[in-house]
Amino acid sequence: MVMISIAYPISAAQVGGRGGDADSPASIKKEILRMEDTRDRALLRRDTATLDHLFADDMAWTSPNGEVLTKSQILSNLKTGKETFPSIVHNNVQLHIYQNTAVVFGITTSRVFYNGSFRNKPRRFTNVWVRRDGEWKLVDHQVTLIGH
Amino acid sequence: MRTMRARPFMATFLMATIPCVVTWGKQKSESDSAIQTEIMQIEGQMKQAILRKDVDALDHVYADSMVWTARGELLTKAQVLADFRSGRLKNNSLEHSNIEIHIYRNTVVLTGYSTSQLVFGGKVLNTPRRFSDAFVKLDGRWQLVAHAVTNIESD
Repeated sequence: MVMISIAYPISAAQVGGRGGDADSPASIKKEILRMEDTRDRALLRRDTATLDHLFADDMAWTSPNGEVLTKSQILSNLKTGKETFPSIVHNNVQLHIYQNTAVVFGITTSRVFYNGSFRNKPRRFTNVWVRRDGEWKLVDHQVTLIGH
Repeated sequence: MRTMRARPFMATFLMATIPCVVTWGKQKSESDSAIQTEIMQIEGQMKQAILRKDVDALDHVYADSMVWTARGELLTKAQVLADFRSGRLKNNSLEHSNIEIHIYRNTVVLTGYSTSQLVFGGKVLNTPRRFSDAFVKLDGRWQLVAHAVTNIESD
């Protein structure tokens, strides 16, 4: 089953802002949410070409068990099936925008298969996106188990 | 991407206490080393402020909209400062290692490994953990906009 469920009661903390439609907080918020959605769909489909484009080369990815993975490790795990995302479910997603940086955070109950077992405990995630040369890249992703 | 050993810091105590590797993206510029030094100094100042319970110093470096994720909880700046002020949260020690700094012009992501001993709500916490700090330059100074901590443990 492939499922994406994302609830977005957005509260955007706008700091600064250079003006103009493309850089308005509303436009950036819309763009970031589109990027998040693209990322989630690519994870579901194991679309590593799309993820390769979205992830910064030096992205830091911290799993809920504290394991730190590089971009190449994440992409390799998806290609080999070591890690898969049968469902993606996010709630309470919020977004803070700082001009060329966005911090997205929320709760996930996504079902993740990793290294032979499933993860589906509720956990909090934090994603940091940075715009470089007009393109948003995910530079940091960290997940923390709730109740630990 | 280039991964390099950090250049010697002006604040030598930082180098002595925080093993650090800096990664530069393709846009490495001459200012990156200055940013690296500045961020390491801010990290050092935050550590000292936490150990001394200097809430005013933390108030200055934490962005008003900072998000702090630890122990599975999401806390605001006000909540974190209140916890430090009341003593609900305190650090008996601050030990960070394997620090990496990723510089993206006005944004910096610092990641590392912590074996600090915390006391939260009367309970001692010393599980090794991974942390990441995201800084953004706002109003001409670096401010912490996100802090996330994950315990290192088996699933």
